[in-house]
Amino acid sequence: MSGVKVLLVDDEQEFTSALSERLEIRGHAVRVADSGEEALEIAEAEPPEVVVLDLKMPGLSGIEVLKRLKSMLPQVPVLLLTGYGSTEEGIKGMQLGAFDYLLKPLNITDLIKKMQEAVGGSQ
Amino acid sequence: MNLEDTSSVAFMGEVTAGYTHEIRNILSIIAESVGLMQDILSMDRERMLQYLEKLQSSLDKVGKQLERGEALSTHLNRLAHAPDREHGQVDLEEAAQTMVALSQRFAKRRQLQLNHLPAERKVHIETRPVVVMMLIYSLIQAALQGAPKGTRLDVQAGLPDHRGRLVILCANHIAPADFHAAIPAEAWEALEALCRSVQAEAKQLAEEPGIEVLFP
Repeated sequence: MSGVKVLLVDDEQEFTSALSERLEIRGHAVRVADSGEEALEIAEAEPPEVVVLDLKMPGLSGIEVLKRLKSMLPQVPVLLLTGYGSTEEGIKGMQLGAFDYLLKPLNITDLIKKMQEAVGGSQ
Repeated sequence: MNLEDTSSVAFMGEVTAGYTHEIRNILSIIAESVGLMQDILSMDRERMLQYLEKLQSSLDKVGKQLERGEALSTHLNRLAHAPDREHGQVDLEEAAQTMVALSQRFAKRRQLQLNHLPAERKVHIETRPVVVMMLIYSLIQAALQGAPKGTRLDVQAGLPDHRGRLVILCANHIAPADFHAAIPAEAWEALEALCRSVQAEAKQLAEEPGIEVLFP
């Protein structure tokens, strides 16, 4: 099973550095963005197969990033990260075209399963 | 429930929501760091050796996040005990430190830095503890709206002329008039209403981009 090219977007750098390392150990290719603005730049320059996007970020909100990603790269699935008490935003994100949402703290097995489902189960 | 009780509940709700969001982030970092350590420890010896530095940095991260979580919990606990007494001595310095810590998430969302500067000496005032906490929160919220993105706000308690004083200043060079104009009227009214309930007064500083609150 080959790896997925994933763009991980979250302003908590200590979270993204550990998670990206774990995904890379499992054979996935990870790009990290600390902000919505940076995510849009990376996605435009090098479209990923899937985006994992935190909903709560300073600057451009996750929902705004989702809208722009969907207009820029409609074929790229987006998985949202949210917390307990914020599932309403996750649902709103799905209405706006997100593939699904996951609750933080994450279970890496669930995340990878969801990433693979999102890219069509062909990985 | 009267109007003051309703706003206290709303205030506690907002602060608690901010706290739980931060705790969730802390737990996520700990979970991923511990997960990474488990991944490394399950590798064969040769591969594991390449990851020794990551193992150490993951341990450091866990320690740092535990400290961050402990500090936040201490501040939330301090706030939770504020309503224990209707009236009494308040350490304004400590109260400012607590509300700055619990407002970090709001500052970050606005892409601002929020700092607490230590007071030159202890600042004790006789007042209503929970109202003071709400007042400092309201002061910070007003200033967060006045400060442009990318700037820094400093909060400091003091005791000029034996009066408790709190100041929040934008540390960057911006015109005081622009800072004050960006504060929504309702944010300023909320701050003034809280000031009135403890006989304090809030002033927009004329010479600097900031606000001061003077206690009786």
